[in-house]
Formats: sequence, C-alpha cells, structure tokens
Amino acid sequence: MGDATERELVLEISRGNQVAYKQVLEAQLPAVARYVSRMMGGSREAEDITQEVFLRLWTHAGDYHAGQARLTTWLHNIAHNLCIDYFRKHKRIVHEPPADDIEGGPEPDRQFFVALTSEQVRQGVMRLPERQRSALILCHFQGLTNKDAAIILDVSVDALESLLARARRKLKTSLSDNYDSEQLSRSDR
Amino acid sequence: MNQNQFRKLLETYGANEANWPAESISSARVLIGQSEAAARLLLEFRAFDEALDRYQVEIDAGELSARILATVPFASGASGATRLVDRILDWLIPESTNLANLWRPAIAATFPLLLGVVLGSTISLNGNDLVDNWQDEIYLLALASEETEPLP
Repeated sequence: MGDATERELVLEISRGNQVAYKQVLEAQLPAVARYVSRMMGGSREAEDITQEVFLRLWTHAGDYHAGQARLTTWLHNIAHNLCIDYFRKHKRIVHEPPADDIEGGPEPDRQFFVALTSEQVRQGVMRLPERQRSALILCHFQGLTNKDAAIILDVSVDALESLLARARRKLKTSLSDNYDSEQLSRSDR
Repeated sequence: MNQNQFRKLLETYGANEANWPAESISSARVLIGQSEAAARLLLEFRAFDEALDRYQVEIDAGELSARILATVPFASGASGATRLVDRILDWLIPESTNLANLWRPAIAATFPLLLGVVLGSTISLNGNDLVDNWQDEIYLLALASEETEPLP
C-alpha cells in the first residue's frame, strides 16, 4: 500500500466509506494484532486492544496526517498507547532501571541460545520494561525502521537505539539467569 | 572499531548486517576478520536473534476481523458524525491518569455553577416587577390627569 493510496483510503474512511475501512483493516490487522499480542504476552486482552485500535481508525481517521507518519506507524502508535494505558490501569508496569544498573554478569554462550524455547523467550520478553519491550518488538519482530519505532514510542532515534541496546542486553542476561535457576531447581529434585 | 563498539552495534541493531548503519559495515567486517572474539560474538548474537525468531504468535485474522466489523458503528452515521462527540469526551475525560489533566473535568464541573451565576445576575425571578411597573404607570397617569384638569 503506497503512501498516496494510504492517504486516500484514510480520507475515504473519515468520510464514512466502509469499503475503504475494510481494505485497510485487512491490510493492517495482522501486523497490529501481532504487535499487541507480543506486548501483552499473548493474554486475552490483546484482542480487545486490537479491536479498540481499529475502532479508533473508524472514529478518529481524520486525525491521521500522512505527512507525519506511515499508516502502519500511526496504528502501531495507537496500539502502543493502549497497551501502556492497560498496564498502568492494571498496575503491570515493569519499572525501568537506570541505564547503569543493566550491566549484567557473564553472558551465556551460543549453545545456550540454540536450546531456548519459544515460551522461554516469551517470558523473557515479558520481563522487560514496557518501552524496552516495545522497542525490541517493533524493530526485531515487526521489522519497522528505527525511525518509525522512535515515532511510535515518541522518542528520538538515539533514545530508541539506547532502548534497543538495553533491551537486548537485559533479555540476554535475564534468559540466562532464569535458565540457571531452572537448572538449579531441576538438580535439587 | 573495537570490541566494545562492535558489541554495542550488535546490541543496537542485531546480528543481521542488513540492519547495520552503512558507515559501520566495513569497519565491523575488518574487526570480524581480525578478531576471533568478535567473530564469536557475532555468532552468539546470531543465535540470540534466532532464539527471538522462535517466538511466533498465532493470529486468527479472519475471526478477529469479523469481530471488529461487528462492533464498528457503521450505522451511526460514520466517523465524521461520531468524531465530534468522541473528541469532546476524550478531551473532558482523558484516558491517561496524569493528574495534570484533572483541570479538564474540573472546568466542566464548574460550568453549571458559572451558568447559574450568569443567569441569576441577568434574569430576575421576582414576579412583582410587572405589577410594580403597572402601578407606577397608573400613578403617573393619575398625577397627569390632576395637573391637566380644567379649572371650574
């Protein structure tokens, strides 16, 4: 979907064109739903949040400015804000430590990562503070550019890259710590 | 590029060279060629990226799409009509719990009070005003008739 087409489609949606809405929904739903699902760790609320994102596409289409961001960036931004609102409301915020506190201990070797399961990675991602989690999901899983991810998180590109570096560092050490404690509890049995 | 800078590059952009900034690629390649530790670090980050890729989520887009289409208020006159009301409500009752936004509902709550003050100062509810005016009028007419009565 080109920029011009996106602009025209969203303009049509703001005029109440249901065909245009369905076209955008079909094109954008999978990516937005995956982002929300990963942010929420696969919980049931993810579908409600995704639904709310596309409800806002219908009710707030006039707020989209094609010159400022791509449509997918705008929708991801709405999704991100809804996720953060949800975490705040349900007190599920993972507090972000100061950058200096993230330096971990010895890092695991290559073989360790080869053995990791999808569920272990999911749990590790969920232990990340929200902004670091979002930065990693947007850039690694959603394949967005650092610039788009920075717009979604409302930070500078430098700040986004700092979040990404901290997220990867923290996730590596967190997975390793968790793996070690799992091994210990198994050997105790 | 040294080992620490290379580690920082991998932490920021991952192990896929296609995501690295163009100006860093050649110096990173030189380091990987010269340093066994750098080459090992790259393999480690590749394995880390592959572990991340294992975390896939399944989306039933068809079902979710149907659910969304069933809840979008197409019949209510579409986005233009609902937008104004939604925007006023969004402004009055912000979703964020930020205390700085409390002034909006506070202003909305004082509006009826201000309206009452304005109405009270401009509209009198005293029903005797009309009667008083009528009596004054008669009284003045009576005075006028006395003054203009011809002398016998």
